Amino acid sequence: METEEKERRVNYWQVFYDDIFLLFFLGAAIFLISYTIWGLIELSAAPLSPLV
Amino acid sequence: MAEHNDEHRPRGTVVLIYIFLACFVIFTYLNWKQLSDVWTVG
Amino acid sequence: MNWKFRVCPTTGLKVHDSAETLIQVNAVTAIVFLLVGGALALLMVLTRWQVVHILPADYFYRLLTLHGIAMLVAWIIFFEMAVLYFASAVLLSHRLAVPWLAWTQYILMLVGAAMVTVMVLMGKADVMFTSYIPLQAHHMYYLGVILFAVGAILGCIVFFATVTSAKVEGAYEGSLSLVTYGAAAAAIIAILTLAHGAIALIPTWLWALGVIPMMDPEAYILMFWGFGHSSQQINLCAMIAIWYLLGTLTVGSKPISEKYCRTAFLFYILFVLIPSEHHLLVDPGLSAAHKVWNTGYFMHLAILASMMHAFSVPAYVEVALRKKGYTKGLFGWLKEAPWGNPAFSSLVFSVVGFGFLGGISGVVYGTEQINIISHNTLRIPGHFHATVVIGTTMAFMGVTYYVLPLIFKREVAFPTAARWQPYIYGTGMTIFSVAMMFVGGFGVPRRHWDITAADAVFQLNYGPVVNIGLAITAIGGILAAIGGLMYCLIAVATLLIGKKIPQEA
Ligand code: HEM
Ligand SMILES: [Cu+2]
Repeated sequence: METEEKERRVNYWQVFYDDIFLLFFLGAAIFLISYTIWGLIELSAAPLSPLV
Repeated sequence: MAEHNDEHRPRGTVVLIYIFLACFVIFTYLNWKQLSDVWTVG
Repeated sequence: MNWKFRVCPTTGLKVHDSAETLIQVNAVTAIVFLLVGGALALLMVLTRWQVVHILPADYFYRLLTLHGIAMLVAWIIFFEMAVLYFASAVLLSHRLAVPWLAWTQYILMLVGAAMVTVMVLMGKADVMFTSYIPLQAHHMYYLGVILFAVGAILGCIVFFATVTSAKVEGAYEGSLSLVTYGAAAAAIIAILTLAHGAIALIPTWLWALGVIPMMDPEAYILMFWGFGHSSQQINLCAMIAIWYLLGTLTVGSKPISEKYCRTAFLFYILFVLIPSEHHLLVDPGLSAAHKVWNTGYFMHLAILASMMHAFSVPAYVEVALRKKGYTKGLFGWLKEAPWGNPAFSSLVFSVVGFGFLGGISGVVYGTEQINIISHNTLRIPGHFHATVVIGTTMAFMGVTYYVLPLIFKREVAFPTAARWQPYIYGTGMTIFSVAMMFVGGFGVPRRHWDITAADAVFQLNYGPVVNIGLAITAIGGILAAIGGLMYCLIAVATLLIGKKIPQEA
């Protein structure tokens, strides 16, 4: 009974690890939000140089 | 079982990890020391 | 349908014909670029050695541009395409999906690389491989880079198509093998990376064409490093997948815990891209919050993952050797390791050089505060020659010694030279990297033709220690150039005159 329960838990994780397309989506989300989009928002808020 | 044989435990690698840690500490120290020398507070 | 396969006599893997040809052309092209890049490296390192200083200023920057491209872009990515096809089609014993798309990958990358090379050599693109705005190259240069990147994306698509069709057709059940899993991580990162490359370079191309009047330099840098640094993480995943493969091939080591290794790859997919930020740490446009967040805790999960890999590989090797009976003391197994096998010695250089030299220096230099004193000094090329040369390049070299018999069906030519090659290359590059980091500690700039500022109104003198350091850098570089040349010659000689290994159909 206990081992069965354990196996099932392991399998859930396994499904997550094996779903390379889900991982792709998560990786994209983290990178795009925390680096790219946040960065672009900050840059667009920066004032233009008076020299331009 | 073979896996539980003490002879087969990767003890050398553990030592390697401590050497790595020591290098890390030394290198970090040297760089922060240099930074504190060129960029003094106050 | 009928696909042509052969069975490899050493490994029993089924090798699909088109997969084999594509692996061959990509690998050979990679090696040609390595040879070109190495020749340039020799000239550059002899220029930075102040006493020798052989190149004039314009050629120094021109060849520096080409060196960055030939090595970091062409050698590495062509080789990675071969690795992707190998990790999917060959390791899964499956056919390569959509071979014509794979051929398109190769042709686009080849045309792109050729365009870039020609433009740089013509002196129309002295912009370094980073092509920071407002430096402007000829528009054909950017087009070449874009074609190259599109080709690389196609290669990743072929990889995923092959893995998916292998799953659908039942070539494997359950989870992917660890090596293929690592290659999948590499391909995921590659797609994100190349998307950033497109966003950075397509507008720049239009700007060079005169379609767009002005570019924002800071936004360009943000997008460029989303591409330029993240592409290093593709190399990282490919390198680590090869580490596991080489451990198995050289001493028969098996990952003890698959979950552990897969967790490390998972951390990569999720967290390894944000450290692109370390290139922007001294830039004025971004807030400290953005900088610290992206080089902070989450990034350290990716570093943790690197350490998990870098220590599990030696642990697996140790366990495998101990099981063969080499159990004496702490390091008896190391003494009995197959040091004469160039794939094994390359593996050791790769793991140790990447971890100790590249890893430690990278984490420290990439800290916001320390970056203030290391940015744009020779510390940085010192650091990344440890990662991308001792680490990635030596892993690729090591696996070549197995790819030659397996995919090119020939015995490695000049086995004695092959035995020596990793030691010469690895030692040379270690000296080079350490000396460069040392010299950089004195504030010597990178990408600089003449640090004495001879023609300027002021004179700069870094002192005798720096001069000696640069000489040692050069000596290490020369040694590495010799080792690199040996590798190229061994590979080419194997293709031309290596003894054929008999095959069954
Ligand atoms: C024989 C081996 C090699 C030697 C002697 C060598 C030497 C050099 C030298 C002297 C520089 C210029 C540093 C500066 O003045 O800023 C340089 C830059 C560079 N090298 Fe290498 N290198 C070698 C192999 C490689 C390999 C295999 C790669 C990549 C896989 C690589 C990637 C780079 C990159 C990306 C740069 C920076 C270019 C830039 O600043 O735009 N090198 N190398
Ligand atoms: Cu970087």
